Amino acid sequence: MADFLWHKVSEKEKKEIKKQAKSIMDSFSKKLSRVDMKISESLIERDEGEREEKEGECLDLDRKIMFENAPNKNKDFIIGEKKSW
Amino acid sequence: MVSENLKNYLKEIEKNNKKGKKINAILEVNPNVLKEAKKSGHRSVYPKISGAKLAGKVIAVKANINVKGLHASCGSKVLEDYKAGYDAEVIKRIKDEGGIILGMANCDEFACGSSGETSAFGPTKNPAAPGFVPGGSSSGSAAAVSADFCDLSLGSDTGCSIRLPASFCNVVGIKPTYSSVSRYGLIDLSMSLDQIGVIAKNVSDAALLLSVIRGKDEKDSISQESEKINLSEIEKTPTGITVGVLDFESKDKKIDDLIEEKIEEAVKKYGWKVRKVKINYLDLAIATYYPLVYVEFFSATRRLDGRRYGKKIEDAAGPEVMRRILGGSEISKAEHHDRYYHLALKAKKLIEEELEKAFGKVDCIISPVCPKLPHKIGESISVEDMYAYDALTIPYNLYGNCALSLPVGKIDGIPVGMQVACDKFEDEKMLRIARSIEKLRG
Repeated sequence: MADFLWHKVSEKEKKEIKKQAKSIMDSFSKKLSRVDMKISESLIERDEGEREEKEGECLDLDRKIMFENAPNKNKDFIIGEKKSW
Repeated sequence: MVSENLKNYLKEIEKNNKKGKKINAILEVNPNVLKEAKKSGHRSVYPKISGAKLAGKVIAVKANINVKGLHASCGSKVLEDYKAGYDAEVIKRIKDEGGIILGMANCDEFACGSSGETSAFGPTKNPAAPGFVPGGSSSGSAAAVSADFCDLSLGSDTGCSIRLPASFCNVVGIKPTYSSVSRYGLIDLSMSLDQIGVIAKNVSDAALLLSVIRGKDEKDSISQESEKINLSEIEKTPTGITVGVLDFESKDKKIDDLIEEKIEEAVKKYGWKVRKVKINYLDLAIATYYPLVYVEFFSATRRLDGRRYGKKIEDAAGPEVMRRILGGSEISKAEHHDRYYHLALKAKKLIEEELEKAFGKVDCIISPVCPKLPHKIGESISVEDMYAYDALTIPYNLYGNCALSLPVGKIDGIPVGMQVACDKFEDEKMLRIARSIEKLRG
C-alpha cells in the first residue's frame, strides 16, 4: 500500500521505491511476454518523412527571465560546475 | 472595461481556492489578468465586431504549460521558482483570439498521477464530490472549471490526465487526436503519448477552445494539419451511425449500468445502431503504457539537473515522480534491451492494430471513463490499484485517437463520466455524438 500525498523522500525510502518500481515493471514485463515478438515496434506517424527547412522564426524568449531561472550564474553565463556532469 | 465574468471568477477564487472550501485548484493567479483583460477589452465588449472567438473567456492553464511570466512549476518544488520565458503555442493561439489567461492550475507533480494528490503544493479538492480525489493529473484544471473559477481550462493527457479528472469533477474533458494540437511549450511527461487538450462546462464550450488551439505547428515536429472544426455542425445530431459499446466489466457494476442506460436512451431517441466491441489485448494496456512512460519520463527529466532551472529533480521530487525516475533509469539500462521498453513498443503496436480494426466497424466506442469510483483523499491504495484508474483511457493514448469524458450522472453522489472515442482526426464527429448525448440531460 502507498500513500500518494507528496512528501520529502528520504534516501532509505528511495531504495525501497526503486525496488518496488523494478518489481512492478517485472510484473508488467511478464504480462507482456505473451506478445508475439515477431511483430514490429510501434512508430510515431508523421505526414512527411523529412521536415522542410524554412527560414525559421525568431522566438520571443525573454532573456531576463531565462537568467532569473538559473540558480547559479555569472552575468552572461549559467554556471555548470566542473567534473560533476 | 473588465468583464463582470472575470471579476466574478476572481471573487470566487478569493473565497474558495485557499480559503473557504480550500479547493486548491489555482496555484497562481496571473498578476496582470485585469490589465490584460482591459487591453483586450474592446474584444470583450464588442466580440462580434472583432470576431475574436474567445473574447472575454477566462481560461486556467495546467502548470506544465509555459505562459510567459507565470510559474510553470509542474506542481513540483523542483520548478517552484521557474518562470516561463515564452508562451506555448496553444497560449499564443488563445491570446490571439482574445482569451484571458487567468493563471496556473495545480496538477499532479510533473503530471505523474491519476488522483490529483501528488502535487508538492497540496492535493486539489474535488468540488463535485467533497472528500474524494478529483482525479489527475490535470486536477486543478478540472476542479477550477467545476468550482466556477473560470470558463475553460487547458490540461494535458498522457494516459488519462484530462478525461479522468473531468469525469470525477463532473465536467467535459477532451483528449484530442495525437499530433492535432501543438505541444510546443508543454513540459513533457512522455513525448510519444502527451497531448494538450481542453476542459469545459459543456461540449460546445470545449469544442470552441479546441477549435482555437488545433492545427499544425512547425515547432512541434509530430504536429499534423487537420480539418477545421465546424462549430455549427456540433449541434447537428449525427444520423445512421453505429455506436460501439466496449465489451468490458467495471469493478463497480453500477457504473456500467448507468452508461448502458444512457446509451439506450440515445439509441432510442436518435435511431442509432449499437454493436458490442471486443478489443483484444485491452488487458495489456496498463502493462504496455507504464514502461513507456517510465523510460520517456526518465529521459525527459535529465535536463532538470539544477543548473538552468530550479533544483535537481532527484533532490526535490516526491514519491511518485521518484518511482518513475528510478524505475525508468533501471529498465532503460542496455542489459535490459528488449525486456521492457521495446517489448512495450511491440505490445503498443498490437493494441493500435486492434483499435484500428474496431474503428473500421463502428463510428465510436463508448465505455465508462473509469472502471471504479474515486478513493478518498489521503487514503492508502496500492500502486497497481492507482494505475488501474487508467485502464480504459490508456488504450486511446497508445493508439493516438481522440476521446472525451462527458458527465452522465452520479452514483452515491459521485459523478460518473462516459468516454466517447472516435478514430484519429474524427474529433468533430466525436463532439457531435457527445453533444447529442449531452442534450438528453435537457
